Amino acid sequence: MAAKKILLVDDSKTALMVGRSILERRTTYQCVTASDGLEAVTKANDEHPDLVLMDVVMPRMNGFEACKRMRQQDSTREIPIVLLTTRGEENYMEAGFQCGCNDYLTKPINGEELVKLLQSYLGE
Amino acid sequence: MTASPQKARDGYTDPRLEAARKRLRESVGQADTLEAIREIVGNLLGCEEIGLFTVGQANEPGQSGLLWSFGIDPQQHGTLAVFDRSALHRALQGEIHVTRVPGDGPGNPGNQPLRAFIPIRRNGRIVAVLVMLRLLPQKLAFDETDINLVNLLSDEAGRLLFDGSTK
Repeated sequence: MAAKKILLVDDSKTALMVGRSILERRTTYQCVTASDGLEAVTKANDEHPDLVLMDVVMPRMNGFEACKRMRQQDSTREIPIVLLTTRGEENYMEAGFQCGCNDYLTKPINGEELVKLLQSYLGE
Repeated sequence: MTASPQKARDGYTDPRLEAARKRLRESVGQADTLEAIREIVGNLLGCEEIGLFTVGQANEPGQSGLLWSFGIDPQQHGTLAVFDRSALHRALQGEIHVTRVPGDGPGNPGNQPLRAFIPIRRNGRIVAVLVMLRLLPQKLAFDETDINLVNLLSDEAGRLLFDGSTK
């Protein structure tokens, strides 16, 4: 069975390195990355990931807009999207859900929490 | 509370620490090092209000200057003299000092946001203080990796920021 594929999206090189490192050490998921929302929409279309883990505040296109675009495309409509943000306020999270995300995690990332959440969508 | 250096356990390196070390060491020039610091502090430590203050030979808060900031008003934070003197004293003596933001946050003091003062060393001398003014509300304590991260910044950022060449 092919490894599940995660699309990690963040404009921070550090955040991408951490996300990749956590997933490579603790799971068998394969990682692909994008550094802004626009690139994420293209990669989601090309790479067909099993899940998208995406920051909200990014240049060129933010995570909310990228989430909306993915929900509008047939090829990416059903992909689970987890947004990552520093802001945990209820109205901010609600805005994410309005854009079509499935879940939210707040930064700084807790590796254990992240893996548990991804496994709840993708299995072990 | 004052953070003391702690060693990684039995060769295990936390992914956050490993990524921070790599990002910092791969930074090229002062601007990129500052961006690396912003990424580490923002993404891994949970703070979006940061000031980096250079320190003169006399280590006097009034003689310090704001070199760079993110998420704060530079006009209101021109020198270290605007901060609590005892916390600063510790930082200027080389201690990483973590405290609660005075008078901020409701109820239980344990729910008040954290503030951290990190001495930045170069060739054994403190050349700057990195102040994390207010950590995010969900970040209410420092764990072992957080302490290792601030120690990394304290020990390595000074050379990368002020040596002129990073390679």
